[in-house]
Amino acid sequence: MSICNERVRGNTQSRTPAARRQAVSLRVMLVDDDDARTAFVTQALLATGNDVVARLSSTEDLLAAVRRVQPDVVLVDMDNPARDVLDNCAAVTQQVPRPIVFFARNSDPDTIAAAVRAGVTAYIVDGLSEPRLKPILDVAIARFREHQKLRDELEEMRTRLADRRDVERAKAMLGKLRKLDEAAAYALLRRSAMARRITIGEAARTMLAAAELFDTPGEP
Amino acid sequence: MKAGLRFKPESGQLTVGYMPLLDSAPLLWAAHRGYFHDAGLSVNLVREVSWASLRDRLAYGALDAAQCLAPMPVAASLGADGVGVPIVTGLCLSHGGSAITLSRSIAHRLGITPGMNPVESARAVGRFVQTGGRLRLAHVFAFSMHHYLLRDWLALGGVDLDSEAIEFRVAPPPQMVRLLESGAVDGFCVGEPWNTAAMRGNLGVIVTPTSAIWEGNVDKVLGVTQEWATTHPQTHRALIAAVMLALRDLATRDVVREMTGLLLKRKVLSVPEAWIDAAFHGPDAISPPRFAHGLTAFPRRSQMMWCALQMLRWRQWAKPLPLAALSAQVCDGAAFADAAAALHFPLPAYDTVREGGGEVELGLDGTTIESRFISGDQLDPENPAAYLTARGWLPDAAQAVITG
Repeated sequence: MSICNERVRGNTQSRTPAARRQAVSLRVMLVDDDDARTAFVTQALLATGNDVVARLSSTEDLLAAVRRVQPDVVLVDMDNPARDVLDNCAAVTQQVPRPIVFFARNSDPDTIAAAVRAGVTAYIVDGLSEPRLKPILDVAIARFREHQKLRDELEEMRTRLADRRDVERAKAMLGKLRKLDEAAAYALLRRSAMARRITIGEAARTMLAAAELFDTPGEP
Repeated sequence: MKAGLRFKPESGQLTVGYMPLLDSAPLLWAAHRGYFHDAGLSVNLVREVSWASLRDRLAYGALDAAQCLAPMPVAASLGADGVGVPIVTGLCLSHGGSAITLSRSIAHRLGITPGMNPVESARAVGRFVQTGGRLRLAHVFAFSMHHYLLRDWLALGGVDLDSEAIEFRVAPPPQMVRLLESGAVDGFCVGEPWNTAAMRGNLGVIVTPTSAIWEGNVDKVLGVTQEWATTHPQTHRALIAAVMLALRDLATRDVVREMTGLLLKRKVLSVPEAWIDAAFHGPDAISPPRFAHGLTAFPRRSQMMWCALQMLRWRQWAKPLPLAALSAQVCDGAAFADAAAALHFPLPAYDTVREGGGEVELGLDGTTIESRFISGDQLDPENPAAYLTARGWLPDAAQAVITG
């Protein structure tokens, strides 16, 4: 993602300047190293009639970008190493023509708490009122959450597949070692998992790991 | 020693944030040695990638406690950080540990050599700036000792910090060496091992450890929100006691090897082992992190006053500032004293000292600590306005801005 992505325009482009001024449209700069999420958030911001004036990654010169594109709002992934760079803009105002102020100063604590949980933060240009910021922040929070949900689901699916594979292998091993049929092997695994308060997949992996230890030939 | 026996934590499950730096060692060590467990706590240590995200998560309750830069609680309690959720501290974690490095070419041009007196090197910068020279210098965070001690050093040389000659930038510590190499900055003030890395890579000259500018400066503290400290007094004390035990271990040199192994194993730093080693105690150890222990771990109100005065001095705060009340609010001395008493560690007799006063008495048993400014002056906690007037402020302005 580079500065070449500046000025991704929304449907405000066709409006007259006067109409634009009246609309809620704001100039948003996105700082996120996750390309997929950036696209996801951009789409939602454009759909709500805002301008995404720059999309940047943490390695770029953010201070220069802020000076050049003069955004109203900077939305940034909370776990972006560039957070401290942006925070400095807020603290040392003499170096930036349009000072950026951390959003939390006059904002609703519930919205901020939600943003922190979702992992997104915003910096606004001094003077931008909270009612104008809130819709953008809400869109970002929602999109960050959805993105996280997708990632969690993917992770869960991977775990479930791994579980199924490992449980099958553990059952087969138990069948061979303890001469158990499939149902009895599964019941034994489940009892073991319940007793140790772990998932059946974890119980299977523990068992396989232990078996591997016993299979390892001793030192010569 | 079962640190938790005296305390009954309101909540046994804690999430504690840290930055992957050498001086996260006290927290990692407390976990490694089971001191949290002994204190009746189950601590989940969470790695953060920026001070801003660490602060936000602490302020909004995603973290119960965190390794903070020393000025962060003051900035938060004052509202200077833009968040304004008050943070307090009951324990200092480390002192000094950072250093100022200039690129080889700039150091050469200015005639600055390693080991030069910091006042002389600052004067060299002053002469450079007077003849039209400009420098871009990086530090780690707006509210950091790195930032303030870098400015303090430049001020020693008569550099006008309001002019455009010096451009201050913030960069994540792991990017510092790359920025120096690419020429994006001319120097930086950062913790170890990044100064050692720049020197070993033949890219930079270590000008001075910040401990030379203020010997005994507090670098990192253990921060919690004021609200959390109020609602979790016993948990706070148990947590402090556990980290105190880790600090005691780290004060003895024989754990350095094991600690280095732990830092590498937990991937806190992905640099050659020799750099970590050097930063701890090697031949190039110009700025070893000196972990707090005993009474140097006691958060003194006068240290926090110094931080607040820098916010005034460098215009991060331009409104009246209740210095005495603010510093009292930020330092949870009672939590420190209770934890120290439980461990039979030395107890403080005062909550302020004359900063810069040299060897000053702090302990009930007469224990002293060191606090020296290279400028040779002092910060008298009874007359903090004098600190500003000694730096060119009009007496009326200094008296007016400090409101008790």
